[in-house]
Amino acid sequence: METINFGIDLGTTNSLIACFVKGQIEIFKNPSGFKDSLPSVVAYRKDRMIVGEKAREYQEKDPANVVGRFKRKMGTAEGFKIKSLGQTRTPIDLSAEVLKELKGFVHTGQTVDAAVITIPASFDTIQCNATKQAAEQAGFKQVVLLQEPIAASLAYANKRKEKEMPEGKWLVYDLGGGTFDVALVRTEHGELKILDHEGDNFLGGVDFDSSIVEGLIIPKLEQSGTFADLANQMKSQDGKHNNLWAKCLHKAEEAKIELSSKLSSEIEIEVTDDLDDQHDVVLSVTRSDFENLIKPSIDRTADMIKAILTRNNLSSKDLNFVLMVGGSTLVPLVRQRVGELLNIQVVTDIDPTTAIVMGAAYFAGTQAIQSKTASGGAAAANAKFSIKAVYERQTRDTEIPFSAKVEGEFTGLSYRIVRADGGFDSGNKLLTGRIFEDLPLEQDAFNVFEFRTTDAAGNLIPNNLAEIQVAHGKYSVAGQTLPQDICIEIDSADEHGSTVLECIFARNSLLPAKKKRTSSVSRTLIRGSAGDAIRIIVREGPADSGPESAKEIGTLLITGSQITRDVPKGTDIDLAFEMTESRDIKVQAYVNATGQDFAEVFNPKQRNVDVSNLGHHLSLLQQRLDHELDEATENDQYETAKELKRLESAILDVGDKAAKLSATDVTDDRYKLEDRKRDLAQQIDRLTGDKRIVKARKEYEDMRDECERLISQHGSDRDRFKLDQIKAQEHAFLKATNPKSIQQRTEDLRSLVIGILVKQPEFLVQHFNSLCRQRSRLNDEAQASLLIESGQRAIQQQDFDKLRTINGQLIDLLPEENREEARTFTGIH
Amino acid sequence: MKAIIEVPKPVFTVLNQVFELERRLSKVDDPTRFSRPLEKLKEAFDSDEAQFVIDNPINQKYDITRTDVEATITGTEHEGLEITEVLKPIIKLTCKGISRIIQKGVVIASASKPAAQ
Repeated sequence: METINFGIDLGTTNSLIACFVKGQIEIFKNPSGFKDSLPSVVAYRKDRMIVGEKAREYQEKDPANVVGRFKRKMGTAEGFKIKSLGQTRTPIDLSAEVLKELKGFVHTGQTVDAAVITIPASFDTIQCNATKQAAEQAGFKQVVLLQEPIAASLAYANKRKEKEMPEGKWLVYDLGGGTFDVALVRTEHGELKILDHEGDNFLGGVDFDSSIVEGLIIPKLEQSGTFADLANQMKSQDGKHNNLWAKCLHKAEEAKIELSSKLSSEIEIEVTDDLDDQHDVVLSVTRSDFENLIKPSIDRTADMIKAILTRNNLSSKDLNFVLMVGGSTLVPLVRQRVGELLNIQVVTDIDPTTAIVMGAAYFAGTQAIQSKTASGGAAAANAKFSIKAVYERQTRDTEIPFSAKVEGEFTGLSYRIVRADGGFDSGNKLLTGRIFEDLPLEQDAFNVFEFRTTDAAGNLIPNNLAEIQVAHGKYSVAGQTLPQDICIEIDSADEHGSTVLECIFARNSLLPAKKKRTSSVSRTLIRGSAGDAIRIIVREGPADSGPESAKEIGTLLITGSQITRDVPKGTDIDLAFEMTESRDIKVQAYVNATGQDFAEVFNPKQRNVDVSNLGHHLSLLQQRLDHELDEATENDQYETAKELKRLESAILDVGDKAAKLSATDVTDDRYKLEDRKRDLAQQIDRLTGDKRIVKARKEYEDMRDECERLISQHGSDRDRFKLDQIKAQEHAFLKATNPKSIQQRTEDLRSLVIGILVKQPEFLVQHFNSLCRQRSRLNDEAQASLLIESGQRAIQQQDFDKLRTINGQLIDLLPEENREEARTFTGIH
Repeated sequence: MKAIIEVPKPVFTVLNQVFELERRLSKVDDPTRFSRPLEKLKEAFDSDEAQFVIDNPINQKYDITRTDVEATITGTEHEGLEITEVLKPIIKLTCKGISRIIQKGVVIASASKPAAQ
């Protein structure tokens, strides 16, 4: 079996490529220089396109043609205008150029068309898909995405000997150039698993650089010369001082690096002010100045660590250590604050800048290539037989069972399996349709076995297997986990016209995953109706929040023009969801009424944050918050009101910042603000989610009391038994955090109540009178008159069975939208 | 396939100091009296099997295709650049007739002529 072997760390500031070779990792050096990494910068200069160090050199001088830091905009609709081309390049295009350049690092002559590419754990599905599209654009035929904290854990775990590695939990604190992730990792029986993680796609070393520019350099420049609105003029694409922004970021980055080993650093900047006067500005930055600037950011990372520990009912004593990765963990304050917070060992043993690519390559060494393309050579490709092998690629056992199925023309051939270190030789054996061997392994090593096939004369005959590779004692990955719930949006049962989320795959589920669900159509879809459609909307976000708090991943549309006959209301649709390790989501819908199958794999989709829309959505959020605040105050829910008040000031702060953004702002601010807006919406959901639970509990208790009363007066033993059964489960479902499970029991009680009521003459008469009052709304006047007369006679004759039937017929004459409620009310299905 | 060349770090340190000495001596009166020991030092790195060559790119043209140096571009222009200062020289190793750069130069590049205002 051939494995992918190539791992790529596609970073915000730097990218790396490495290869897994017989248990060891080789990081390929940049052939244009002597570094391991490639700056993730792309330059379009005249007729040439250049990626890496040379592009970075021109980044500050020629920002109109040189682009960096585009990973932070992956999955967004934003493009970069390239002056020399007169065209726009997307973050996907630019990432593809970096990936192509990395391929050129591989000096061994191998074809690189499959790779494991790392992504931040907090990347959403849109961003994952964008990364995959970039890889496809760069010519990769197979791509497996791996979350960066898993990669780092794998690098560290593989570096250590198994006997030294205690089983347990640890944190991976990954603060890179542009993203932050903290992951809770567990190792058990040699298998690594991410239990939980938190992250921020907009927190990293580049933010420290921006802090230095905004907090120290700009104020100093303003003191030194005459500038109007300097910050905006620097940050805006059309700003007079836009070049100065890139230049200052570069200077700030240099100072930041120097401050990791020294207590102060000098920054020199040449600047021309608004009066065309030149100034040579020199400012001294102390480590203490720098730490004051970045402390709020570091404290935010500390808050995320606390959130993970709280959510998992852990204290820092339950952790073995915290593993520091990412170039920004070289900043002394970062290590110091994390050490103070957790009071456990802070591990800095591995090179924080290469850990992720090492882990990616380890993982690539365990991933099978799906379609064989290169190795094996033409001879193997021309072989008249093929071997399909099955065996464990990683184990802690001392030997593995190896089996293979052989197909094609192989009569008279023999095979022989030899371990590369000479420790095992199967001897020549006749090749048969099925092969079984127990292969003994060298411990704590990467075992390579040669699989040779020979003819009767002992001549070597090429085959498609060639090598068997087994890692002994190495750690493997249990599977990748989902960063957020994946949900579908469905019509709300409670409020007409509103929608709710239903979880399909829960946060932290292991991928790949599959799930099936049957949904009912809530309104009739007429064949041929162009505008009408059933929408299966897939969203990513907390399932217990509102749909507006979750990002849309994609929508499977079934339109009237696609269906072969009408799909009546109430028809079942069988939905099947599949999510791969790389987070492709396949949604399949089988419409029972027509026998048609609809399917879609959601394609990469960009995230578009329009500055004016952002303001609009913030004002809607503000309105919602005002409403919730009033309600909480009226209901004396002081704690909730206090929390909502806190959120109100946060919304105002985001609103202020959004209002100051220019439509052409070149920074990441719009995405940061959009993330904060969604986070605030989720917090409101959480706070008011409690309110929904309180409401659901109250409704349940009211219904239960009503049920008790009715059963004591009119109920049967069977009704009592059903009620007791529901009450016996109260202790469990009343504690639920999701109101749906409580509402389900309330519905069960309602059915019970209705079942008793419809046997009561007073209720039937009352219901008949209620329907008579709606006479003007009934569809068929003549039929309604006849039914009403019959009903009145049935009451006189006390024929209540007949009255029940007449009530049902009257309900059928109601307009469609009223029937559901009326039927639920009567219990007629 | 590219050969991987491993050169001990002290070799770079010594060659960089040779370059620095030459640069400073060029500013003193009668630098020739130091020539002999300097040449001897350089000869020590020039054998039949391998030759280390120190290359000073001062005043040479610079553009984005030039990968033998790492440049910091100063001034306002990014066209018509030349190397105005060399902080570290380019070091090449010639072995069996094949020459390789083993240390990139570290330079400052700026416009050779100020741009018209």
